[in-house]
Amino acid sequence: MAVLPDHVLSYLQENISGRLSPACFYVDAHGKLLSWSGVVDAYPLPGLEAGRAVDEFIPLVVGLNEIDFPLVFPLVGLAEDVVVNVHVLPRKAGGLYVLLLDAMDEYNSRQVYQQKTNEVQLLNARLKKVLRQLEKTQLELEQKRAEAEEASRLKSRFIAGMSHEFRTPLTSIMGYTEMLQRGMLDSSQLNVASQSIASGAQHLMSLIDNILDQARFAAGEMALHNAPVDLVAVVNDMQAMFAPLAEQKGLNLELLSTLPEPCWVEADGMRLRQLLINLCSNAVKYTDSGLVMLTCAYTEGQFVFAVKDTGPGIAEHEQQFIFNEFHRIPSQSAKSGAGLGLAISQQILEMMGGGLTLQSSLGWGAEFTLSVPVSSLSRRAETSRAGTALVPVERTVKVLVAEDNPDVVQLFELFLQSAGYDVLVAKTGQQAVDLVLQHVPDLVLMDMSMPVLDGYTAVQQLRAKGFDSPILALTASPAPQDKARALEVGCNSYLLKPIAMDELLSKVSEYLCVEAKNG
Amino acid sequence: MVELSQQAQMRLQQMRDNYKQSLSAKKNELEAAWAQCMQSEWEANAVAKLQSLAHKLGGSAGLYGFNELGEASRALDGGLAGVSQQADKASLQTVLALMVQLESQFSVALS
Repeated sequence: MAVLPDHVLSYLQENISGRLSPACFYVDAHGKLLSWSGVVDAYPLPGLEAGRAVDEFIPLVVGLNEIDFPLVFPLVGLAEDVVVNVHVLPRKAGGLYVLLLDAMDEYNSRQVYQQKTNEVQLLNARLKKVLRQLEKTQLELEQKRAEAEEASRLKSRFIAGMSHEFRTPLTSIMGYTEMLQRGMLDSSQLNVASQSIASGAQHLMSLIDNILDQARFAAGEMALHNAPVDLVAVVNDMQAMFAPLAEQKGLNLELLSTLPEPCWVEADGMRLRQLLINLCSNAVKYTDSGLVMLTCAYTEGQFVFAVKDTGPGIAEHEQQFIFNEFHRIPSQSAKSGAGLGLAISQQILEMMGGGLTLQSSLGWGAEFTLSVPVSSLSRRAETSRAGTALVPVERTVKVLVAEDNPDVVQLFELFLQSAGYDVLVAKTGQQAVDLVLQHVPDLVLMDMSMPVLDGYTAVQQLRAKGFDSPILALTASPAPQDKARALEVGCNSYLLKPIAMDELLSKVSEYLCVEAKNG
Repeated sequence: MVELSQQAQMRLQQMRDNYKQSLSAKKNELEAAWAQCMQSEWEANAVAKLQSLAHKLGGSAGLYGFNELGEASRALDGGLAGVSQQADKASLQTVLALMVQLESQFSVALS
């Protein structure tokens, strides 16, 4: 290789020396420092002295007294955070040269590079996280879109099914009505027309009920309202309700009951009736001849009701679909309804914690059995039936009725006054607050939905002003959150409209007794 | 149950008769409010008026023995809760079904 010109070499020497601050240490074959030259002052080497071991000042050079090739220790840390590159070279006369070159620039660059690398890694990790989130969001969106499409598909199917179901009875109703209006029917046809219109209207009514039930389920608004129910009365009603239709079709309708009489339980009577009506109505509708048998029993907290018929039966492959919404058995489509009855029954039973089973085979009739857990109330019902006639109160007890509906007020007033209470009436929440503070009644019946000041605010104000007698909330909303809200603002209890008068009086009396005892 | 005096019983009967007689006017008022809702395309005040009437009827009808009418009114009251000019077709269909149900219960109550 050609030698560089002298002035280039001297330029390089100056430049490199200026930047790297070279300091050279001469070391003998025993590792003792002989002398030094160069920019030694640039490095913190306290106690630097000839004759001392070199490794006292410069780390890593331990045991390197004799080498025959150069060694480089990059980025070696000295005191005061100074970083150097240590070059160790053999001396011809024996021993070593130890050359220190300033490596702070290199070290700082590496630090910056490392920091940038870390930042990039961090950004990468964040990017991956964002991408994962994006993928998740995309999946969720796709799922939502699929759900929306499914809901839309079901809605379309529902509307298509419903319009067909509505049109059939409506056609008959409109047709007969038109003929009646035009005087086109003779006396014998009048009866047929009125029956047809009545049954068409009945059918429409039950369709509407079913649609509304379905909407309530879909909106999660279906709630059970448990109250004492006599199961004997419920099943007897079924027999009374379906006997005329069964007789008309020439069917035997039999009821086998092992229920104790009476059989009071706590259940949602309306929904229970709806379940039994659905089952009985299907059995009578699909059976053309023979028998429809209703059996019922109450054992170990379970009400079991079975409907067995001698109808066409349900093929095994149809049985898995029969509880689906809008499902109709093709062979029976002429008699089918909207296909909602069993689906709704199933949903109601789920809420009640019960179940519905089917045993059937084609040509051999069908048997639907429902079982519902219901708690017995025999003793309570007996007590209540034995009569807890409310004794009119002895002293004058003031009850304030805060209610804006005059139809409700006058009835409350009549019954409360008949029970011996002194009744005050407020038509707005504000009036209620004023009257309570003025007359301090023993109990307040507060409608929660009133003009000027609603019941919730009125109760809050009264409690804040120290009124501590019972306040019973009156509301038409069965929603649990409204009940909770009423109790939260300071009501003692809650009465759901429409309220039976005996329930109202019993609740009023109960709270006044509690007050009297506490007082 | 508290025993009503003969005079109170007569008053109760009178109140029941009055209530039954007032149903026709209540029905007209509800139908007018319904028409207003349809005309105004479910403007908030019109809906509130209809809901208030349904609410009142829901609270009173059952007390006078018109349980189904009361139930149908309360259902309409509840169904109207989320209805506005932005309501979707399905909600309006549900409200329509509720109104049909209420009308039919009025027919039964007034017959």
